[in-house]
Amino acid sequence: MKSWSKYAAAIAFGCIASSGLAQEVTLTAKDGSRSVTGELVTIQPGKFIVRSNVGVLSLNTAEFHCSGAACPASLPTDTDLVVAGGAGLADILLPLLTEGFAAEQELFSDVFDLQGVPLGEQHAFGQDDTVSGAIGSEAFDILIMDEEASPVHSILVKEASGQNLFESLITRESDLIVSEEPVSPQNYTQARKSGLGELTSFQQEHVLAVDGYTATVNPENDLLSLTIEQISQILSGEIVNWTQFGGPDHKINVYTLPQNSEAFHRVDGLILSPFERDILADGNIVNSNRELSRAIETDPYGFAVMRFSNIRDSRPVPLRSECGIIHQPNQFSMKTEEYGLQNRVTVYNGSDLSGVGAALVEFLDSPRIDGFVSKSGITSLSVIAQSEHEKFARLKSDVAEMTVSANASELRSYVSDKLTTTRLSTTFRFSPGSSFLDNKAKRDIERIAEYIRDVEPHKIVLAGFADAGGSYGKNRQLSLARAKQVLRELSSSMEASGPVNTVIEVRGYGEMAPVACNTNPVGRAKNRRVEVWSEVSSPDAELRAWGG
Amino acid sequence: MLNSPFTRLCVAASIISGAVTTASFAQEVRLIGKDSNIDVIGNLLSSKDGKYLVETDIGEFVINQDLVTCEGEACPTEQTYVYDLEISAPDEIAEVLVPIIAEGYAAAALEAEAQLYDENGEPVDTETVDVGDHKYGEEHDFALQLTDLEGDDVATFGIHTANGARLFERLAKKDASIIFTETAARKADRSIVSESSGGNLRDFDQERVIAVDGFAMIVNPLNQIPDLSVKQARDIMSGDIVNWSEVGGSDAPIHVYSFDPDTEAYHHIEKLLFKKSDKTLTNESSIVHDRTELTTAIMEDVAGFGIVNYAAKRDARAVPLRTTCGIVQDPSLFNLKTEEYYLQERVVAYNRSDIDGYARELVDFLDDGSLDGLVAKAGYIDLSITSDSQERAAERLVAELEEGENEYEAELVEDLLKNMNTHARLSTTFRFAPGSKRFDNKAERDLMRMVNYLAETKPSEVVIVGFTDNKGPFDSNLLISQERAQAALDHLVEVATGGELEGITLKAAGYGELEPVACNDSPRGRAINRRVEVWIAG
Repeated sequence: MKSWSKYAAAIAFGCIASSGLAQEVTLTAKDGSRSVTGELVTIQPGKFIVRSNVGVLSLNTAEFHCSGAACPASLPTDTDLVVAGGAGLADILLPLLTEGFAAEQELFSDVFDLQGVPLGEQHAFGQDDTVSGAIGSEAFDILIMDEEASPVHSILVKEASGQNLFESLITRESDLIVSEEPVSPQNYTQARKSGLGELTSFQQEHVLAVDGYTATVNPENDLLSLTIEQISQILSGEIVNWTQFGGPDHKINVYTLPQNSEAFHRVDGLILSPFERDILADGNIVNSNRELSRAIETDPYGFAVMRFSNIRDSRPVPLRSECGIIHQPNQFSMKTEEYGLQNRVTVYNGSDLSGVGAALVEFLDSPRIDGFVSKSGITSLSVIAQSEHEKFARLKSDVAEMTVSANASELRSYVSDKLTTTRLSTTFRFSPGSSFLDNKAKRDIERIAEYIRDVEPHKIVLAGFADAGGSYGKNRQLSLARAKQVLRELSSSMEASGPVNTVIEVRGYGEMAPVACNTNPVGRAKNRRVEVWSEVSSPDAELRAWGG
Repeated sequence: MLNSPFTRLCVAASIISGAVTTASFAQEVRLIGKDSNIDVIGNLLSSKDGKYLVETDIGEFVINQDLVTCEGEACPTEQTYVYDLEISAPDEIAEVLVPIIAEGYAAAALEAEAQLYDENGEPVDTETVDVGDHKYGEEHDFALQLTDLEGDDVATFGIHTANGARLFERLAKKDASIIFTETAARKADRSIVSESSGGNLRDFDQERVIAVDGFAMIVNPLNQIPDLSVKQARDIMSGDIVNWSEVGGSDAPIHVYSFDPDTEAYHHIEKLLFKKSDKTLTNESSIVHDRTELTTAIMEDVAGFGIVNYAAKRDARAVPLRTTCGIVQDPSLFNLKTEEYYLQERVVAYNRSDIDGYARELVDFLDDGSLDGLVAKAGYIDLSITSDSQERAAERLVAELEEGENEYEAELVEDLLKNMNTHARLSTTFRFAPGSKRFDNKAERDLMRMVNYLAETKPSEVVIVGFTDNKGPFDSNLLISQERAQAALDHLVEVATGGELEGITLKAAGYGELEPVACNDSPRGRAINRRVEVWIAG
């Protein structure tokens, strides 16, 4: 993927910042049987990594004695933390998040393979999968180092997915897991029985990001929208010609990543499995995300599903739900969690986490990770505003769809609120009939509090909505109760930082303006929400958000 | 020179050092540790440079004065002379940069002249002083006497030399209200200052980067060796490489010229080259005593090699530096100002938050437009803005384009190249913490400089161009670089409230991890690559 590989030098020594460790040492076996002289590349828990004239050697610290100026005064005792997760997720996210975590403590981090050779950018899992077909056996180390390049902490990141992922947490093989699926009731129970505590509790469940996917076509293909079912029909080979969508009479050229890749598994889980379909047999298989987007950029009849951040110049196709609501494939829709093809990226940990693991999790809980998440190509939870264009398009369709039960004054209030404010991407969601915030929502409160402190908007409207189940009047009450619940949490979060000039108001709009279809549980869950609308008094105010 | 301020300074200096009154006859004193269980009784032989030398039954000891309290008649009396302002800095800065800045301040604010005196009361000529011989770690006192045009006393500033963490200790103990350092405050340094109610050294008003100081690997102009890596320079200095043919030159022995390993001048080179290494300076080297002697020796010796401050290289040839990933950095003024050259340090001024009077005024003067001229006069590289045609960088990109196999990048590179050919780059470069788009104190001040520069030069177009390191996918880096550039542009517009940018077309662009200026294989290299550049046209 990187064409500038000549800059990705494999060896880190020689540079000033890291030259410290690359020094000659002599390692002598404690039983006197042999000794090795070479440059000490690094020290990892339990092993010295030495580059000698016979190559890079990894020698057990228990069996060898180190002599030479570069020998450390004390050895790192053990791996401090083990993190497990799938390819394209844990392997991409962890090095970046750890860099941020280290930087906060004025430390540095770098990635090494298990033999201690610096990996540069070559640490992605699954690079050998297409050759060997094996998933789930790769691992690398992240060392957190001080200015002198002496290791302070060591984090082992290893590949695991599906049921293996939660098993590795439950069996305590790993301390943290990065999952694209919420914990299942079975795993929750098992974890509890194994003394890991409640995986659904605030302290043990941390939503870091959302990972969104989109159907893509060639930029010249003007296909208006697709439903998830239509995408699954194309991928499975049930729809094979563009004429089905009013296009030219030409075969749809489907491109996919290899079936044994983790990226394919995610697409399978989001699109094919829910409809019990399988991928077509005669698709074009490409080996990297880059090849996938290039295929679509160059093939006017091409079709592929890919991670949103990989689309480059290919065209993402808007997603249509079965009741006709259209979601644009963009960052804003993914952050609101109203777009259909996305997963939450969640970290789970046992209740007995301590030391560097606890400190890392504290960092993961803060909005300070958002910049690093964005850098990884996954959508962060940072607060962004809806575009004006999208706002008016949505308002137009909302007004057109307003049910007869909405009276004129409600409609007027809704429209006037909408016209003076801009919706923010952060959206709070609830269980059926309840006004309890989930763990993600509780942390989003802090993000909105920070937004208010930074931007100091003139007014914030907390707009509560309900699904279409139940009576109209009851839904209005319920939606207002939800908005008030968010207000309570927000006020208590903001109390500590002193008064602000922002007026915060609540509204209960009941089942008006649905963002998803009320015909299925997933759609109804999306409609049970509190949106945050911001009225910014001066056009410069958003700049201030950045300056702070 | 036997006028009254001089005599008084002489007395003051002798009290500070305590040497004159006590060194002539030894007397019994008791030294008791402040935070430790030191308890020594013996004859005080001398008391200078912040250390006591005592003779006891079991031998002679040297004890740091800060660590103990001295009891007995022979103990030096407390310093009685109170300076109007106390400054601490490493020797080179204390004897050259600080007096020149203070002189500029005195002339501008007080219409006064300044003269530096050493601890023996001898005047020091700050413009010719060459500190190659000064020992690292020793602490000395200087006094800077400010007199008005009639020759009357205005004020006296004390300048105490110290190094590394000692500087921050002095700031914390209120022994100094302003310090100058080439090592940025670390966590521990900041915490001792804040514990002493000295404020937060990260505050905009307490931290000022006033200059950069670079080091050049110099050879005789007849020696046309293309470049050297940091590792090769180290191996030459340590004697592991002894012949020019080993580094791509002709077959001739390398003659190393160096400062004495005990000197402050050598300490810089040690810090940059030998950090945490068991290597030391080769025994074969010829020791020189000041920078002039070093450059003169190199000019006279075709096989000579030395490392010297960039501003002091004179006619010697500065060899380009080759990084671990093959990027070659010319030791040019422009590259030093962009902070992309590897062998360089920042000169930072820190002050306590509770300053007033002269300290307050001097600190404010550090933000004055006339500072850059004084910094340059002192032989440091100032932060004034210069521009560069980008020819070298464009050449490098063309080479990459020819090797490129990837269309998407190739298109971007072509676009980048087109802009490089039509735009000059300014030396001001904004850098960011990983994952952040926040401006640090230096960046905020650079932004103000840039607003003034643009108001004066009025280019027709300014493009703010973002770049990232290579961690993470290409596309997200592209996006981040564009966002950073846009954020920097917005901030520029926000700061320029006086119509300075009128008539200038402003644009933002981002090229992700393309065109690295340092190697992405180390945290420091990545930090150099996370940047926003400023390009101008017309």
